[in-house]
Amino acid sequence: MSEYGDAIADARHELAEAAPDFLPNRCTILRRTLSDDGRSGKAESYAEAASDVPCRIVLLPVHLLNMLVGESVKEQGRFNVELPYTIEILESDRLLIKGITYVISGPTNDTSDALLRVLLVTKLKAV
Amino acid sequence: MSVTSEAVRKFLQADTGAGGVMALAKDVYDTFAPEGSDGPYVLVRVQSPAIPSYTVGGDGTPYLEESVIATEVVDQNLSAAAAEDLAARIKTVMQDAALEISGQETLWCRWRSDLDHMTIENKLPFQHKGQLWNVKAGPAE
Repeated sequence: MSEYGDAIADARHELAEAAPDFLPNRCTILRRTLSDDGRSGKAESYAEAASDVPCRIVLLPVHLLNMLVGESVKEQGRFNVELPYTIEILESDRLLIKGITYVISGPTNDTSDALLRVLLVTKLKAV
Repeated sequence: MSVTSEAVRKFLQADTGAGGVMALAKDVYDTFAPEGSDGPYVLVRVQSPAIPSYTVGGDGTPYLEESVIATEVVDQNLSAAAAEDLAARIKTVMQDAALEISGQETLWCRWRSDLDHMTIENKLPFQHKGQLWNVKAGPAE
């Protein structure tokens, strides 16, 4: 790698390490466990996998939609949640932020040069 | 909503004993659940409105009206167990139920078919279990 390449890589590494210091909120990562429900199906439960994880939640600048989810009207805001890039997170995980549980809809920046891991999330239920 | 579906909703809400509908469900709603509802809940909707039957040469007053009413359990759950238990309870109590239909007399309330499917909405699994019911009613005495 060139001299400039090394310098850029070092700077990026420092930025990635410092980035979590600028995340104002804390979240709990909830991880899913599947078990037999006794009727040929699966039951899911969620338990804490990590707590006090730095994060930032941002409401995306799109209109709130009233959608029919499970035959119930729900206001569906979409949010981005930023997490440290080094944090282990699964798409089946849920995030608990300020007492509200969020479902992960998908990653938005699953790239090798990202400083933060950014997830697209929706609220588990309207509150 | 119809007078028949409203009678079904109230009938199910009155099943308050141990193991009853209201012990297994958060509530029973007409057509859709209110925003923020927790499951499992029961939805009662009109699948087919009241179809009148007339006597040939009569005065135009129907001697019978027949509706098809859907009772649907909705539960945000990967497992169908809770929804199945609730749907089974509804199936038990609804057969030959003495519905109190406003302005009419219930003549017949019989199971017609089951409803059973799962949906994934916003990555959340929803169980839908229930039945369709034939309800026949005549003029109140």
